Amino acid sequence: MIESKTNRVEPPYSLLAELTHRCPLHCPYCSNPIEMIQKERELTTEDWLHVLSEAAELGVVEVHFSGGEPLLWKDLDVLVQHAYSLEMYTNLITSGIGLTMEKAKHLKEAGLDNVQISFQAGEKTQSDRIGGYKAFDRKREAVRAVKKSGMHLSLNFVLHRLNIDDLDKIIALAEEMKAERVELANTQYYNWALLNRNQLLPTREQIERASEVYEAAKARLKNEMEMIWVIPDYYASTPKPCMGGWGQIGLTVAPNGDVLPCPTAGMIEGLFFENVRESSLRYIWNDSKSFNQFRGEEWMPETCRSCDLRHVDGGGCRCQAFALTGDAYATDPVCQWAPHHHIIEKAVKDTNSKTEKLSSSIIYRQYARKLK
Amino acid sequence: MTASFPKLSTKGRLKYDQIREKHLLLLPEKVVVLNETAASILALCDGNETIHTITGKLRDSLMEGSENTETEALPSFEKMKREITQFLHDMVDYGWVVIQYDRVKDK
Repeated sequence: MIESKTNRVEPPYSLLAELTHRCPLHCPYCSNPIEMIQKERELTTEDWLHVLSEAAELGVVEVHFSGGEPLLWKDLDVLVQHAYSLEMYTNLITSGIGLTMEKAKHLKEAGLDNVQISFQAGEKTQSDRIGGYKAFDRKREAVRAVKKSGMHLSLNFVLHRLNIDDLDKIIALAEEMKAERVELANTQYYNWALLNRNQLLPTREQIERASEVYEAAKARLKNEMEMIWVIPDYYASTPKPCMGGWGQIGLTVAPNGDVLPCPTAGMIEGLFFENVRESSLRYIWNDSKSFNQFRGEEWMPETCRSCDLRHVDGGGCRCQAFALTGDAYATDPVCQWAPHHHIIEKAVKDTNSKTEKLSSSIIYRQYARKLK
Repeated sequence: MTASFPKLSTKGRLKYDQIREKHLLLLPEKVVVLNETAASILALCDGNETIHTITGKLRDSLMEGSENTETEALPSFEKMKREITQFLHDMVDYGWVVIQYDRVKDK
């Protein structure tokens, strides 16, 4: 008998622990939800310790502490220590604000392996303008603290229309700071970024120039710095696979304890996500409706079912399908054969034909956005 | 000829995963599932062994582990050493192993 491979649930490798949505920065490309979880609804340290233990039992071997700004969690070192005791690889994804020498030392002692610090551009004025906060100098201090403590340093730059022409400066900054790894992440258009797509989506020419700069730097720095290029999917002909597949590789726990297959899945209306306060992680991963909704191929629309690339991209990103078409079951519109591909074509055409000044202004991320 | 001592990169950590019953190499943003041999070699990359001594130790452990003690079952020492060299070369290219030209000194 042939075993149905697609429906077998393998254990997850990674956990993205979004401790809080609070953050000092206001990046207009933030992938956090538009309506953020307020402090009163956040889990407690006790809850998180329990989540980490459950995750380890389930098979998780890497944990990424993220947010918002995870350094705002006052017991972060307690969480890191617990993850370390569970033999997990620990990663801190931070703006760098609050990462003093002393803090870095404590976290290193607690067992933290890797720190990923974001910068908004290659130089101060622009970086601070994009982040909506005077953060650049403090980020540099954080970098020094990470290096001094002996932890592995990754840098992350989100690329878009406003900073992508300065990619050479960005790479120079990463080199100067002796990062071991740098992620050049073209903006993915969800939530805040989607709100600001008009202002953020680069032109084709910008993308082409930047790819050349990236390729040259990657060849030159081969042995010094690991470089990751997150593709600008609006300019691709096939979609990116959804985080290695819906419910395949990892899971996200949101600040209120909701368990999601990816950080943005909460935007999909009509899907109910279970919460760690009510259900076990094992049940949620293996048996919940939300995690099984898009596993395998049965859910796929005809466009994908009849296409061999379904094994490569799995139909693309469910969040993007929902965000752009209102239907989470649609083929990702990035796909050149998708019935909704015209949405992407229009966005790309608009951005490439812009000659006049952008009419609307950029919307900065706000934590306490009023709920309607 | 200078001796070289392969050492697992500080960013990497080896783990035996009891749930999957597999050896893993944990890295920032990446998990590599290793086969038994790869895991045994990487475990010996502590900065105190040369490829020559790693080959010797790996052979010893393979012979210990097998039921029959005939060495014929194993490839020759030189062949194994070449294969291990190639493997470590790939690991260096990935940035997961570094080659040092001095033994790691005890702290």
